[in-house]
Amino acid sequence: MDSFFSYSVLKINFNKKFYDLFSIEDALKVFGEFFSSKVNVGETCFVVELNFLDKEGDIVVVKEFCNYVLGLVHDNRHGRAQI
Amino acid sequence: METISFDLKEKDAAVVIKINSKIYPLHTVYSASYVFLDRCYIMLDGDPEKEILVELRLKKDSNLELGVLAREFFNELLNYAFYEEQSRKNAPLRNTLLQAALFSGSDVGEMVEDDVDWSELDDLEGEEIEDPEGIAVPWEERYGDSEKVDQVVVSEFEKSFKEAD
Repeated sequence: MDSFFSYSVLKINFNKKFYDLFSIEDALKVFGEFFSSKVNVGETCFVVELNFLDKEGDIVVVKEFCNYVLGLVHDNRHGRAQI
Repeated sequence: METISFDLKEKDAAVVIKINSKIYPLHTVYSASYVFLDRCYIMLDGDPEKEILVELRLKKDSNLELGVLAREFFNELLNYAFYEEQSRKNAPLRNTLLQAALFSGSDVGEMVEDDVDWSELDDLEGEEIEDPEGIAVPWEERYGDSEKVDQVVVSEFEKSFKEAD
């Protein structure tokens, strides 16, 4: 069934020292309507594979996704803990 | 200046800022980045214990200049570094005030009960209140029991309805 669709795959490397897996997964749930995804845990990076149904993929969505992840990292580390 | 430097990549409309993490720690960089999320796309890389790399990339149709954006980022870094330093200095005082507020609640209650002179309140209850308009009359005292009250209300409503016509 998958062969019916043509995917374009895009990989993003998130440095483990700056980003955490929970934030990435939470962001992926939010952006789930734009692409399907898979996260591989590398030695130094979380490698996020994004599969777009559209061949080109929307690079703006990907950049917004990266920003969203960073926002969640900040919230997890500072926002919720800071009273 | 080795503390902070940045490389402009005009071709990609991006700038990479190199930050010495001994001057500006990671949480300061996070806070400054958070402020810039609506103005540009940001990616963090490098080593949090040595050199942090912040890539700022302009958004589509953005009118901002990368150089200005990078320098504003430096200012934001300094702003948060100062805020966190002040916060660290004030932490003992803040904690003391918070503890005093939280743990002295019951003592405050007892203190209030002991110190209040309730006889003043009794004196107030005994005083006659001036009521020139006659407002302070209970409903039952004015209209009697509840059935009579209902009749009076209905008749007053009908009267006002006719007057309106």
